[in-house]
Amino acid sequence: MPANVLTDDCSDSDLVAQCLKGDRTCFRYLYQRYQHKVRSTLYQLCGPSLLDDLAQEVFLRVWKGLPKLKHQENFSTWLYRITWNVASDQRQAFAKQHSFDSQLKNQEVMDGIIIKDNTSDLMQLHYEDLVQRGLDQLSFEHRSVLVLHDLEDIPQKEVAQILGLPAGTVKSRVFYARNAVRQFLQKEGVSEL
Amino acid sequence: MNNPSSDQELVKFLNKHRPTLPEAAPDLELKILAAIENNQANLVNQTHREKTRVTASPKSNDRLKISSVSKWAVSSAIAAGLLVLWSAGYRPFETAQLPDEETAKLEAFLVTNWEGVLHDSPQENMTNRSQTDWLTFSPGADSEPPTNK
Repeated sequence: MPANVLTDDCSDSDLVAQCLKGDRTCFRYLYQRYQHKVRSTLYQLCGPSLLDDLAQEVFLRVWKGLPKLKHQENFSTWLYRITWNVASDQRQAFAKQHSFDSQLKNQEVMDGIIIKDNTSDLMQLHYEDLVQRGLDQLSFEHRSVLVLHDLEDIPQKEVAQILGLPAGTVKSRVFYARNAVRQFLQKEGVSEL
Repeated sequence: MNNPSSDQELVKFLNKHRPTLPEAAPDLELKILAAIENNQANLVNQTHREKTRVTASPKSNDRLKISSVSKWAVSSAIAAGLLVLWSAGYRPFETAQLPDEETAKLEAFLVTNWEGVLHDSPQENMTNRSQTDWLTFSPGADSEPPTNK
């Protein structure tokens, strides 16, 4: 397949097929297509620490795992699954190091806010902080469904496939997670919910 | 049960105020591609090593075959050699056949010798007896019992 044909119209399956032939340019297209979603998901699940390293880990696992991908049309679901696996592994590593949600990380967030303070709306920053804290107080399971379903806009059925859960479990977790976040936000003075 | 519109409001709020994703490192894409390149190179090396191992293993099999063949060759050579020797008349544990005349002489010698043993002279008997009497411990009339005095 000539390189100029590889535009945004090219399907994931086609790109995967080319990757399987060893075409790294096609993998580059896949990276460019999905890197934002992958990094965003990782960021919501694991925070800013090691974000790029985790993204690299995801795409490396994707490259290694491509020959095992049976249904190439389900590439995005499979990619999210790998992303979630990497995030989950990282959460466990964080838990071992007792460093996740540590003072250092909070300081990094605060530093980010302070740096951006001059250029961004203060209320927006306040709400961002609230949303971040609202997500942080959820368990990883509930946070995962909320991030994938509500923030990444993935249908419940697909979320169930990604997490390897029954659809009913995903539905109930979404319900619980939303309630928990809503209560947190309302407690923090957000009245518009 | 929450109101669906309330849920929509919440989701809208979360999306509007979700924490801003930090910019990726400028060289992230290159790093990932380099990592893939390294991985590919490692895979090639690994495949090469496996192939080398695969091609080396028949040699060892050959070695095994050769050694088993040589074992068979040695054992069958030994068997064949023994067969040849046997058929050629080599009898390692068979006594030699003497001519009849020699056999007759040997028999006569043995008989004479044997009779000599059976009919010893009295002198010879006495000599022999004196040599073996001490074994019988029978005190004779001419001997006195030993005393401590």
